[in-house]
Amino acid sequence: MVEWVHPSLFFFSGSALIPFIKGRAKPFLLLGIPVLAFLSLLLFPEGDHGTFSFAGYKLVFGRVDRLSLIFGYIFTIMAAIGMIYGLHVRHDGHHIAAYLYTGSALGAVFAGDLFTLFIFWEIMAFSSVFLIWYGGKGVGDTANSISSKNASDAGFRYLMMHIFGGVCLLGGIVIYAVQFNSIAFNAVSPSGLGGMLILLGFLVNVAAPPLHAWLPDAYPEATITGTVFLATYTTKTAIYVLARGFAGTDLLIYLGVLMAIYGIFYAMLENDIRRLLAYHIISQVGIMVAGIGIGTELAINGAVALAFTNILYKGLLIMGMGSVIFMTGRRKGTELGGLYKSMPITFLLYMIAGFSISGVPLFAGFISKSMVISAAAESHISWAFLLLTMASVGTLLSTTLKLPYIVFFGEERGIKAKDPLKNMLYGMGVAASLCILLGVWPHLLYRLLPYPVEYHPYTGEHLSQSFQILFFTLLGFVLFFHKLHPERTISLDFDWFYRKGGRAFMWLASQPVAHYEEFTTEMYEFLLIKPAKRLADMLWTFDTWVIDGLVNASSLITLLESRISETFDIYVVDGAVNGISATLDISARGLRRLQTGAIQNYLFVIVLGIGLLMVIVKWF
Amino acid sequence: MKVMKLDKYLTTANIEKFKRGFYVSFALVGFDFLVPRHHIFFVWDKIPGFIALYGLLSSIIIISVSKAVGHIFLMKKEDYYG
Repeated sequence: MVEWVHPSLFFFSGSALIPFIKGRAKPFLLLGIPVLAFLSLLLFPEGDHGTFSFAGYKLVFGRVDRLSLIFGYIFTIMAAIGMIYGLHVRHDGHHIAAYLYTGSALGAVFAGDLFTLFIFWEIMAFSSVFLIWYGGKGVGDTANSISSKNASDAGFRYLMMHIFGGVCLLGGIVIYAVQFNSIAFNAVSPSGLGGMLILLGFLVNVAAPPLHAWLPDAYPEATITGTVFLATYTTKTAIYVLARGFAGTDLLIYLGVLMAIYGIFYAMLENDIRRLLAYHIISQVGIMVAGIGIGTELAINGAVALAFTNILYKGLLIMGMGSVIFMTGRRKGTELGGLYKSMPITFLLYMIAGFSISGVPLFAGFISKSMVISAAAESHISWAFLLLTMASVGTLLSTTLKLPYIVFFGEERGIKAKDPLKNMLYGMGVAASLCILLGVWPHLLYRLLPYPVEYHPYTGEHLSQSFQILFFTLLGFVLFFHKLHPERTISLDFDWFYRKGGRAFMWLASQPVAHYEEFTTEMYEFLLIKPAKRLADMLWTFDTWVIDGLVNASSLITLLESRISETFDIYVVDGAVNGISATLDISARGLRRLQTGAIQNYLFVIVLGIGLLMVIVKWF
Repeated sequence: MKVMKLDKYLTTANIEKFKRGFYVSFALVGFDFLVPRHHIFFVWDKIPGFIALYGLLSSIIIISVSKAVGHIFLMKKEDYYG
């Protein structure tokens, strides 16, 4: 019997299979992965699983408790919804990036120690950036709405911020581990340097100002499907780790409320329809962060419930606007309008998400967002209560009233469009039905929350308050409608510092740095280059006269030697050979003269010889 | 429903529909006088219709402040970053 299977394993091993499965089997593989992962979460018991010992520290891959399980459920559900919505994308790399991203987010959620958390944290950043880069490559028909350069640049800026966050996190973990001799991931004290760096790393991913600009900068440049995944995992994983490590940290109340307000103010100015929604992600995540900062059981429950429902309705909002971009190729409010007749189902599904996010009763936002706001009230933090309520008003104004008005009504622009592909509608349909299901049956969600729930959303005063806010915001919308038309602009945000900052660096390089560089170059020339040249000259002289001299001398000697040996060869050896032959020649010529052929000459010589012999014999 | 600008829409006969909407809004405030209060955390929780006023006020603040700050400082031409 298998004790426990890590849900990430389904995503990691499944994404390895994606390139090899073709045709009709592919959708089954793509949807089977999240379904199996979801079932594995239902089957296996709570407790610590997959523990290893590494360098004296205990690594825990599977800490399964109520807090991690609820994030596991919604992450796998949303992976299935996002994949249904993206089934038409014929690009294996895109599916693999999406599932590696999902798998690593699950890995981070189930990590029981800081080191494992860090590993999955980094895989998350590096797999998700591909969803942004693919946006510029035209994957999933984004070619006419997203420019390749914008997507590529935004991806690099996204990666830069996440690498910064990752480095902070790693540094914090190392300091924390040395200080406490433990890497177990439980409540982290934010007082020491280690705890502060860990918190900073988390705050980058949760998109807290001023570290938030990567989110509205990069998300609208991603692929239509990719944004659905992006909007789900990075910020909500950060919410999980904050709830685990920093619940009740006062700083988070201030930051969360700031985020909630910051997001809605920027959303009012935005013309790009997906960037507008991206600013609302910051606002919604801010409400969750504020809940974690308040830290009571109701507040933590509220933050987690809001994360759960927000994943569904924010995903649906982004799928709705993604469908509009997919069908029209336009992404700006100023270029869209009058689509309600041609895309009625998209409009309807978008409005379900819109009602959910603005907390209309019987929709998912009503039962979750109000928990956090009630927690602020119960803890008597009046300013947080008022500002979070204002954030709800702003959300209703721009996501639920202004944006759909501009896109689906507004000016008739004669755009030829129809409802998107069936799989996209099914994906949105599943999300919409879950939004309504949770709205009418909140207990379904409440029994999964980390703490026991004593909260009843459908009370007379809550309903009365909600309807008052909704209707009077609608009144404000109608009264100030003339102020709300979209404008062809972009808004400055904190990404200015690294986008224009890069250019300021270039100016510095061309102006003051250039002068400085001129001066240093001269000093360099005087102090280093000239002496070096002189040394080089000396070495050259040495080389020419001594080394070359030696080389030349040795070659001269060799030459001389060869001459001598040549002479010897010519005069002595050849001479000897020639001498012998010459002697033979001469003697042969002499001897030839002797051979006259006259017999008397031979007889005379014989007689003379005999006489000579007799004289010699007589003599001796 | 024809597609047209909302301000145009309001100037035509449809204004009656919106008047009805306003009546509903004010009926909601009237209803708020009757709703029993169980959870009182702040002073304003006892005031009927406070949250309606606050909602309207918030939307005015959000629209005016964001647009003002936007036009003064934040909003730039689309080719700002080149």
